[in-house]
Amino acid sequence: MPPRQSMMYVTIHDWILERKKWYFYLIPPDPFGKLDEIITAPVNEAFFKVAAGYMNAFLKKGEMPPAQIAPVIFNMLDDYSAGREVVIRTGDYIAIQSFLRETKQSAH
Amino acid sequence: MAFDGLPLVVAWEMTLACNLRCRHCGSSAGRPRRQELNLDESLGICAQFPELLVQRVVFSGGEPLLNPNWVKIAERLGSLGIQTEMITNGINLNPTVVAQIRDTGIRSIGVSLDGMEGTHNDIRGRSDAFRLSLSGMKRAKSAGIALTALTTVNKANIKQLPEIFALLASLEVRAWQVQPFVPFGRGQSASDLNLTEQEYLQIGDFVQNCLPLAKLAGIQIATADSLGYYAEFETCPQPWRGCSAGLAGCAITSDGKVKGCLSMPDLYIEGDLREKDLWDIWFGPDAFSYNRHFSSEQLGSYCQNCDRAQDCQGGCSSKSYGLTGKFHNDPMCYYRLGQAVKVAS
Repeated sequence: MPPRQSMMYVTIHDWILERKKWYFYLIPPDPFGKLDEIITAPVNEAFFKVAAGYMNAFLKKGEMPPAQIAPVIFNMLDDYSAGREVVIRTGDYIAIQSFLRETKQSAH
Repeated sequence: MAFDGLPLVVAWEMTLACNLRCRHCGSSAGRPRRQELNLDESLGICAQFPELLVQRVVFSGGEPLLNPNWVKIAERLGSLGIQTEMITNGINLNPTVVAQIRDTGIRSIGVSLDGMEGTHNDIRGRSDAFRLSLSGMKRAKSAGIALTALTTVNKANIKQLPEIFALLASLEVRAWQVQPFVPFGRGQSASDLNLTEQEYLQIGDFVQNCLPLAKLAGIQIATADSLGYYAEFETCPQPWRGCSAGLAGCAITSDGKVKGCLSMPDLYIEGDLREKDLWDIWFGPDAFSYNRHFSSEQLGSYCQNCDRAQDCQGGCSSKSYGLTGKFHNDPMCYYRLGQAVKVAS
């Protein structure tokens, strides 16, 4: 089964979550506490297309991903090959988004 | 290592225009900034939030309801799955506006309440401010919008805290943010509102004593601006890890500038959204350096010998800077003042 977008999540570092609660001044307390429960975020379509594209290219043709994001893609492949949801650490997410942005800029 | 935090919370100054001229206003709000963001620019900024995983946006001001585009911006944020809240002075919470707030999916609003009627009106500079804010709060409550009250405690209202609490309990607010007056902006000319160290400690005592009653009333009390950090208040889950500006959140001014927090001085503008994307500003190599590159050598004289300094990093950055012109140097730290009293006794 190919990777699916619904299987990919970004996990947000504990240190960010912890600090987020303390983002005081002009931020009223959240009476619902909803924010504290959000520790993962779904990836958007553009992100998924790129990540899944490189994952598939490696799995099917053995093509190496670009060097800047190769470690991230391999981390994702580890999860995927083990049949787990693909959990992307914050730093890895930022690396792929940065790569996407650079690619978009160089295309213009 | 590259910075890998994200702005999960964004405070957005919708406009600097305000229908009040509050004596303590840190933003000196009143007139709009020159060239405030238009609707297209604002929606363009909204579109940048998802890739940065922004989870929560808080509309602030000035008075955010004076931005004619607030409804469309709130709707766009809602369609992106971003939780939106608003801080307002409550003056304009008429039935139409309350319905708009509810319909745009804003579930919670914060309304400023700075004393009982005479004091609130005096601070706010308008004789009907208290009445209008209160009726607005009641209207919002009836519409199912959760209410937070925000009180900036100063010399004029510190003795009214018990009365304010009783009023808020009768209004069934969900939360009460208690923050000490810090002389920023227009507040610099209101020296009669300044708190003494003793009064500052009294706010903490009040909060501590009020907590059991607040629990009974279903009100969550939150303390801000270094009030109670490391004082083992229940309002402050331990450990406090220092100012989060530029680490877990940021602020956008009404003309599209990015800062760590809206109360930071303009000297600390990190970039302009009319020139750069939020992503590029957030991940700029020198962005938010006062917090991202903290080292203990930067601690000022008030904080350098504190046993909590490594974690706390000198309290609220804006307050520290506003009072001493330096970061990581909080002269009105509840923990330090409390320790001094303990030693003296």
